[in-house]
Amino acid sequence: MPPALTEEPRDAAAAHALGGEYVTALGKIIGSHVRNEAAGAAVFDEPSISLAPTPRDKWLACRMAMEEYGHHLKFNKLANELGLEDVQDRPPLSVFDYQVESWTGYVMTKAIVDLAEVVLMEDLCECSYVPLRELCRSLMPEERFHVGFGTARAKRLAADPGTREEVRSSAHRLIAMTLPFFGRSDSRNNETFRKWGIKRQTNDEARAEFVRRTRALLCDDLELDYPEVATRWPVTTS
Amino acid sequence: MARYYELSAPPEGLARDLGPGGDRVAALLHGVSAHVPADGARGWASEGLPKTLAGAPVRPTPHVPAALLDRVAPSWLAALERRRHDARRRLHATGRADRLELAEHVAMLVATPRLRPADPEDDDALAMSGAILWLLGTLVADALAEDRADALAELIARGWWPVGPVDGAFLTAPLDLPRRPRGGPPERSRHA
Ligand SMILES: [Fe+2]
Ligand SMILES: [Fe+2]
Repeated sequence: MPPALTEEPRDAAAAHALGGEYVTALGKIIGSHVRNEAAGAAVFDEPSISLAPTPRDKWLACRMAMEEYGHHLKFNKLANELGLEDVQDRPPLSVFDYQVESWTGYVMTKAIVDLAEVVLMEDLCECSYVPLRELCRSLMPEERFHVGFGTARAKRLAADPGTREEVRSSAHRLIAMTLPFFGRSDSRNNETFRKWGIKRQTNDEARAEFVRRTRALLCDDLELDYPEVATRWPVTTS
Repeated sequence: MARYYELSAPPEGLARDLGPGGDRVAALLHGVSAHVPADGARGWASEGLPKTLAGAPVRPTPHVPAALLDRVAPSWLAALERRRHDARRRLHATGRADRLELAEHVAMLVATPRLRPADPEDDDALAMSGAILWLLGTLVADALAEDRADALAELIARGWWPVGPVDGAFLTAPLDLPRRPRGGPPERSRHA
């Protein structure tokens, strides 16, 4: 437990008893998940259902869209319990500007953007706020399934000369778009999150873990090159 | 508009809140909550099924092997996709997008957790549950837009999953199939 805490808060009242800084910090994390899960379901998953090449893929895409929407609602419920009103006011992260125009493009979002979500959620599985920790632990099997689905389909598509180049270009674009997702290297917010045990990793540590896993995906599993990317992030919103 | 985070059955007053076609949506979702119990599976009885659907004889089956899932007639799926698309477009055009959103929201809350497979890595059971969710989304939109009786919706309300035409027969299976524990390793395919 971090020095700032004597006991881990088990509910919204206990979180409020720790003061405004703790609740505001929690609100930033939960709010970003509320927005991004909804955006993920609407932008990545819903249109992809009709792009699926086989019935099985269509149904799995539908199952995943419903799950992402369910994640959105569960984070929204936590926000509501904490009395956070305006979590939907800010736009979702810019990675959700990515246009899914093909099945390959969709598969790569599952393999890469959901992997970023897994990296962030793994850290939150140790979060000091017990309701958020339990929620993230309960969602991990679904998120891991999404990444597993993306990875398995990406391997097939990368082995096909007709789709290999699109796998590569989508992966490179998505990795570049996802890196800012982890926040600035010198983020004040992240300092506060760690002080209160809401997160354990720095933004750069989480980003490095994402780079390590996407590098393994691209270079080992798909036998592709890795894009040139900055691993520190001095200029983005945190 | 009412906002729900968790539901084990369609909320009271849903049919009224949805307007035309709302009672059909409520009946469909009550079918899901009645026939896919939160704990364990139900027995199944094939009495009272229609003789034919989509021009093919109806064949009830307690199991759907994974290989059959891949053989559901693409033309039937494409026709449903068009119905879904047309219904959604119509609801948007007639200013009822918020009703559609409420109906889909409730459908997702009632059905997604109930249809969650016992094993989160069971790819086949996930595909089956996705098939039912996809069909529900289509039928919910269609019920609101058209407000007319529908044989597929009827089957779901009575606890059956209309799988679709496969090799000249219309397969239908128990609605809670994705939740049922399945056979040993040969029947189970796990994703990579
Ligand atoms: Fe998610
Ligand atoms: Fe996901």
